[in-house]
Amino acid sequence: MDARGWTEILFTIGVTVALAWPLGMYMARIWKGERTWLDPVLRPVEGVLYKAFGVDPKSNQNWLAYAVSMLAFSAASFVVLYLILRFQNLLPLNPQGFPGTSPDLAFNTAISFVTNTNWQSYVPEATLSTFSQMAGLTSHNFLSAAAGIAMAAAVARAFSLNRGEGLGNFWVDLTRISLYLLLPLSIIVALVFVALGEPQTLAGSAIAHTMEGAKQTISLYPTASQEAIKQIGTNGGGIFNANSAHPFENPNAWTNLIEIVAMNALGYACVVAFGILAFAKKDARALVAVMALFVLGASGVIYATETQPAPAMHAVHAATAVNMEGKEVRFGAPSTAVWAANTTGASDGGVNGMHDSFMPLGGGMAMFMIQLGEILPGGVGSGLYGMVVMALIAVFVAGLMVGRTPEYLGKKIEAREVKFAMLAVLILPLSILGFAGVAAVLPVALKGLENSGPHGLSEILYAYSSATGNNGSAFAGLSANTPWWNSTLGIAMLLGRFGYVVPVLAMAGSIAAKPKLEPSVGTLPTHGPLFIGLLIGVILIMGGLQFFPAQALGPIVEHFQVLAAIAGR
Amino acid sequence: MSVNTVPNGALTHIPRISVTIPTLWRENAVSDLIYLLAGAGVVLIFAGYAALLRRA
Repeated sequence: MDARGWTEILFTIGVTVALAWPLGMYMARIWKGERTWLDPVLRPVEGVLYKAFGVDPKSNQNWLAYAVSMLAFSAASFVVLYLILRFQNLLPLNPQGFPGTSPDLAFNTAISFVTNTNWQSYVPEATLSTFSQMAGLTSHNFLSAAAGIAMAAAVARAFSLNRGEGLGNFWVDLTRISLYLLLPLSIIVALVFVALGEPQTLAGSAIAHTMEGAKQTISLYPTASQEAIKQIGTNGGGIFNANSAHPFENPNAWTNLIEIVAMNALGYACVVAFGILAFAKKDARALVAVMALFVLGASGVIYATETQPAPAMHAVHAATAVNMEGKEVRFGAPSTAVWAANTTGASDGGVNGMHDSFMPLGGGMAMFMIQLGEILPGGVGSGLYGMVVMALIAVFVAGLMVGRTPEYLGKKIEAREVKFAMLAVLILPLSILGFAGVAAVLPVALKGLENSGPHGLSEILYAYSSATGNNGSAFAGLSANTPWWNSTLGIAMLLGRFGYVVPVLAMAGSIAAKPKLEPSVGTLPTHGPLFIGLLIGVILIMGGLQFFPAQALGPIVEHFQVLAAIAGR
Repeated sequence: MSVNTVPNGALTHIPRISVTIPTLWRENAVSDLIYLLAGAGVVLIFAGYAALLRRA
């Protein structure tokens, strides 16, 4: 570790957090339906879309109607994407002549992109046509991200209402967020990526002749545009198998910095917009502080572990100061560490290094960030509502400890809201530990593992954590393109997305119906260091209690094995 | 996947779409049905879950 590495980590996180304010203020205008600088161009388009799809933009949905609209949209998106993937050989823009995917792979991939997970069980450049990548996957990169942000908007409105019911209109939110936020941002970032050297072409592939005389076929794709929305929408699904470790997806240090910033900027911005809508800017600042502190801490832990000599190098008396296995030489340890902390905290899942090759505690830290609920700052939208759930639990716990009536942002938090919050939170261990426990003993699941022992368990645990958390990154040692893994990981993604958001929307509906109260002497301030500390404690204890035993059998045991190997025992 | 051939083994030039969709469908119809129902069905089951929470 050195000062240069720490400076890079601090600078990256600092720029990301700083961008949250202008983006958040803009996002709040979109959520509120206010005029933006893009109105002259986009307002007519918006009107045409509402007419075409029969949407009444003035209708206001209660939480149940909002949830059902989101679920119906997701179900229809799943069916369309499934059919695109299965029949891509019959569709245009298939210059490589790829056949349709298998049913289980289409199932897994369609769910993956509809739930904003973007787990990829396949090698994209050897499996998917350009049409599947663009019309199938990239379009869902926009729509699944917009759906997540729409949920966050609904939760924010719940805190702004005084005995209200309507949380907005899902179809309007989906349209406005896609048109006014994601599309323009993606165009700007994609153009920057093109300028920095990423390919943007419909040509199938380039042919290279190597010095040994061999012929190499190198896929190209419209990479820059996919890369932009991949990061902005916390999607993370790479157009290439190596994801952002591939030089076409991430050619240099500038693209690396922009990609890290892009993957977290909207996550933080959602919190700022929430603060504006809920008349609680200071409280939103406290949530941003908690998120950034976790990302900083995780970056530090991973940086520290990855600047240790790898045991295999020790064994051959060639110990170096940095574990470079699985890392790009052009990025090094600090860039890989800060990326890993951001991508696992943000539910993005894109990688610029291989998490499977991290030292055990580094990989364990990345996995722990996912297991904390993808709220640091989490996926676009989903991070905000996940953090609000944690905040409610924190004020409830504080209320129990000191005998105050739990209140958050002027709303009394009672048993009903806490029950909904716990229904959401408990879906994570149910899916992660439940599926991992079954997979750890089933021969059909174990066949996909490259490693046995604690590292094998880590691969299983990481896969289900990533799927349930809608993250999408993987310990690459797992060969997951089998019916077992495709099917169970697909179900885990559905549970993680919809099993979480449905009770959260119910909670929002319940909060919206309550009167908005003025703070009293008995109200716990939720913007100061005390609350920040309390919230960090609640997040750590929830994650620690639920997942520490499993982590102890995986990365932690492996860490001690490494220490023993280095000591020569 | 079955492919129509003429006696000398060459592929017939039947329009691709007329061969492939039914063939693909026949070979994987059950799997496709199960996966489509599982995916869309589970999402819609959450709508029932939402209705249940409304009454809770």
